[in-house]
Amino acid sequence: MGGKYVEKSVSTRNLSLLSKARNHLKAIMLGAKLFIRPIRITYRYPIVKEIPQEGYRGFIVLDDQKCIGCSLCARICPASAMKMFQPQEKKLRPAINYERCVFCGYCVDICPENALKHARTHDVVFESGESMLYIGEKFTVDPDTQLLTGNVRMYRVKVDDKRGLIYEPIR
Amino acid sequence: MLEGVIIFLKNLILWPPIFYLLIAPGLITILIALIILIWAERKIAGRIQMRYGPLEISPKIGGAIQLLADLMRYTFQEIIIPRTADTLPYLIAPIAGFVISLLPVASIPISPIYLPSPMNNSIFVALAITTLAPIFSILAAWASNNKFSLIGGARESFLIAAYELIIILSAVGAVIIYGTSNFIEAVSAQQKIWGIIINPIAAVAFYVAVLMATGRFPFDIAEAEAEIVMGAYTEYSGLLYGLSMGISYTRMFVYNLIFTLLFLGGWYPLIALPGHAFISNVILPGTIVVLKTIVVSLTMVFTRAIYGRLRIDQALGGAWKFWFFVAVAGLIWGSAFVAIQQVI
Repeated sequence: MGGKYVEKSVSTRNLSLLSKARNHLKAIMLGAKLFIRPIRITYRYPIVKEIPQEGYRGFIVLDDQKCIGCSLCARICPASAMKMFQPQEKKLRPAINYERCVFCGYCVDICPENALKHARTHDVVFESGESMLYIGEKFTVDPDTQLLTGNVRMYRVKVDDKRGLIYEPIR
Repeated sequence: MLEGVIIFLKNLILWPPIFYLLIAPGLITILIALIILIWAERKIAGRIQMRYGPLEISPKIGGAIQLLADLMRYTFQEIIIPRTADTLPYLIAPIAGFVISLLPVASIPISPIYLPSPMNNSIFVALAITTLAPIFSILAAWASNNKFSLIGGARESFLIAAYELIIILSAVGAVIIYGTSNFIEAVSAQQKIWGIIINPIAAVAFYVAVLMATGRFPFDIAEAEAEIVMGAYTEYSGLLYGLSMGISYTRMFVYNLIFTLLFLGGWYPLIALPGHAFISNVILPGTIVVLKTIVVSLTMVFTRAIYGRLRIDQALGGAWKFWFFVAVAGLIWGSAFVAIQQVI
């Protein structure tokens, strides 16, 4: 009858009636405590936004004044997301296709003039494939300016000793 | 002419069998209770498991009308009948199960004077009818011709044998004390002191057996979602799925009506407004009974958030080796109470 696992299961659960009742009561008390004072680790994403830390690898922004058109960023790109384009009577300028970009940050690292930088935005919805190609003027706009506007509450993640991750309101 | 029609409709609605089965505590009250209970179940589980629960559909009232949206989806969804299913029993099972799980209301009064049907054995009639609904769950499992359904039906049939005896024995433990098998006399015997204080052992056994009967946690074995998709109702979709999901909640509501009348004092404290016969005889006692029932049901849906699922052997072992003897102890305690009362 039974077997190895059944015997093991029975032996570890061979508690007295009193300790069983105490364990049930403990579970119910814990549930009641959390019901009265909930600790939530999720947040309502579109209404409440989390501000990422410094150094977050979000969208990439080009500083047109600093860029010297050396095309190192296009060479290093592992996903072939960055390509060089030549506007009229100007030097080469990079353009990025977010359909391919993997947000690895190699282009930002390799840029000799620090012309590329990461924004802290990561969540943008595109309505068509063409709009995912950032070229010319569009590539130089910082998306973080839109991150901090709008009717949303901002939260920042903090590590709390007791509760683990918590969301601290900014404004 | 018009006045006559209005008076006829009023009399028809206030005719006790129609009023009880359609309005309170029948269909309409149970649908409202269903909406409250399922929303509360998801919301309580969300709060305790560190999330929000349903919210997006109506953020101002905490997503309370989520179930209406779900019901609408079930109503307009296509009903898929598997080719290998036995069509007639497959279609009949959830409908008959829902109706029959509602049927015990026909013998459960919610007021001392206004009765659904006058009878002397209403407690036993109600308990007898509550045992019918699981048969349709097993019928659904058999007719679906699916291995998950079959496993669910087999588990359900094991559980029926375990819990029905406990429910009936613990109800008898209360009936012995009141010396009657009529709900109205049983409730009026609790005018000063509630049954749960006189016989707490039987009350606890009844409560746990109702958890087991209606598939609340930790006895969610017959429709264990992680193991056997939806138990006996795996193959159902659309409106039939909505009905089959409502069966366990309806049964819980009806069992809790019985629990309220047997152990929680029914319509006491009775408030009577002089001069308003209908309000003080039907609406106020009915509201008190339904409110008590919903509070008990809320404590039952609360268990979803804190318990895991027992194995079938653990649940059956617990039922036969422990709760059965608790129910017998409640019966003995009830008999001893009556004997002591007679001696004094």
